[in-house]
Amino acid sequence: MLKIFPILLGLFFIYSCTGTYEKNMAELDEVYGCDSPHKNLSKSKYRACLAKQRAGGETMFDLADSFDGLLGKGEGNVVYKSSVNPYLWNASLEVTEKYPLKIADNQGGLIETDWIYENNNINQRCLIKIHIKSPELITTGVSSNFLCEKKEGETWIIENYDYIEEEKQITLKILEIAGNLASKSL
Amino acid sequence: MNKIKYLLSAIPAALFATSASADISVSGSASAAYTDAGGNASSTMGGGVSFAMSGTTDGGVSISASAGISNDSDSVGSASGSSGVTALTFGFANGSITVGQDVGTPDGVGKVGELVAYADDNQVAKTAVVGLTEDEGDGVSVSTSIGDMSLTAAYVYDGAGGGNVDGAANTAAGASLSMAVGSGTLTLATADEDRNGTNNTEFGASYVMSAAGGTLSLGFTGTDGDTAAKEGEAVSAAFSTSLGGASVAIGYTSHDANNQQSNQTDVTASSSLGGGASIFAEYTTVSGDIAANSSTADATVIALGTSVSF
Repeated sequence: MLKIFPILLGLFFIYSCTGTYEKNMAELDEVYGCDSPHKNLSKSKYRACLAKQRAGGETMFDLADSFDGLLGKGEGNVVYKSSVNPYLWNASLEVTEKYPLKIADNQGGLIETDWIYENNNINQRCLIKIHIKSPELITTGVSSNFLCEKKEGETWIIENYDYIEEEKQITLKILEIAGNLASKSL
Repeated sequence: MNKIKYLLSAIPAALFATSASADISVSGSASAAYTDAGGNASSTMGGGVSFAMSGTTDGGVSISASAGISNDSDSVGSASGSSGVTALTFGFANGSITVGQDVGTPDGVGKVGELVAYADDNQVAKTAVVGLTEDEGDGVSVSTSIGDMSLTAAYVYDGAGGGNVDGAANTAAGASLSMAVGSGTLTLATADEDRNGTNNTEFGASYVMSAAGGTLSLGFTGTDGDTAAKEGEAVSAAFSTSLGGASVAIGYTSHDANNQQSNQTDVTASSSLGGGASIFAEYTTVSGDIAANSSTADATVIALGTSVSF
């Protein structure tokens, strides 16, 4: 078996361009959850994974509501709970305030700017999409996307390029502003 | 890349002024459980804080690491500890390489019916248990995809954690391969261990598919080698589904090793409470060739508890 390892390592490099890794890992996570044989989890990390997995499951017999009822919460009141964290939402609006917005859906947590043009480069245009995905202020609760097009003749064509670093910068800025807003509200 | 910089120049410079070049995130989890083993009731409490760090090289290779503070969450005693970075993972376009002190071989793949995480505390031992002894240690693992197949290989060069690359007494190696077959997912895995000259090999297979409104898992484990007590086969099955809003699973595993047979039946249920919290219940019982019950351990154990993910 030990002799096989260098061969497998070589295979890794040979097949390192097929581009299906993340998709396959996501599918295996769906099938196996924390027990995926392709996850190398230590005991403590496995416990943490299990806690997160169980918390993400279904709610039995609306127990959460029942507990609220026992504690006297919500009696006679109509409670609206937004699925969009207000700090992340306001921070996203602040980040995009310089640009015209095409979509600002605070129910779905989606912000999309109109096309952004630059005087020095009128043959390219980009827009920013921001999605608030969580009612809680967590680092994975917001994602940003850049979508750019270039003009060829009279036709705008989507650029085949991932602006990963730029998207990360915007997400980090939103988290920073959201964190400051949350701190001020305490 | 250069083109977008024109556009980004329209965004105020202050927007990115304080952006970090690396991501550091903090997460936590905690759990509290009550277990009952034949009248011997215990409480367990634990959890920890985990720091995850990542960065990206100019060439696009992601590098991630984690460190943590933990308190063992499934033992009666408190076992708090802290660890610095014990592994570095380098992520490429189609895979990753991990160099670490807690690298493990893909053993146990076929034991799909062993479900409980807390209720096995204070349970009597099964006499027949197939599988390996070596779990994790200093080593390197590689994970990649070949089309729709996922391949992971691991080599533990020092199971004692002494950092001895070429002369350790305890070593292990293994590989697992997962692929879609029919309507389900098939995983095949093999792992070898060498514990000071005592060699054992485990082969595991599992098949997971949708069935009857839930998920059916079937597994097989075979062990061969120098340790007679571990030589044999285990068959395992599990079914999980949602029932009345709760996630419910039942599992069964039968070990047949060295002419002895031990069986384990597990039932788990959990329900989300929102906000990262959940409640859970676990039941496990073992039968066949097992150790005798005692004042502290029993063949049947239940656990009730809650866990929170922050």
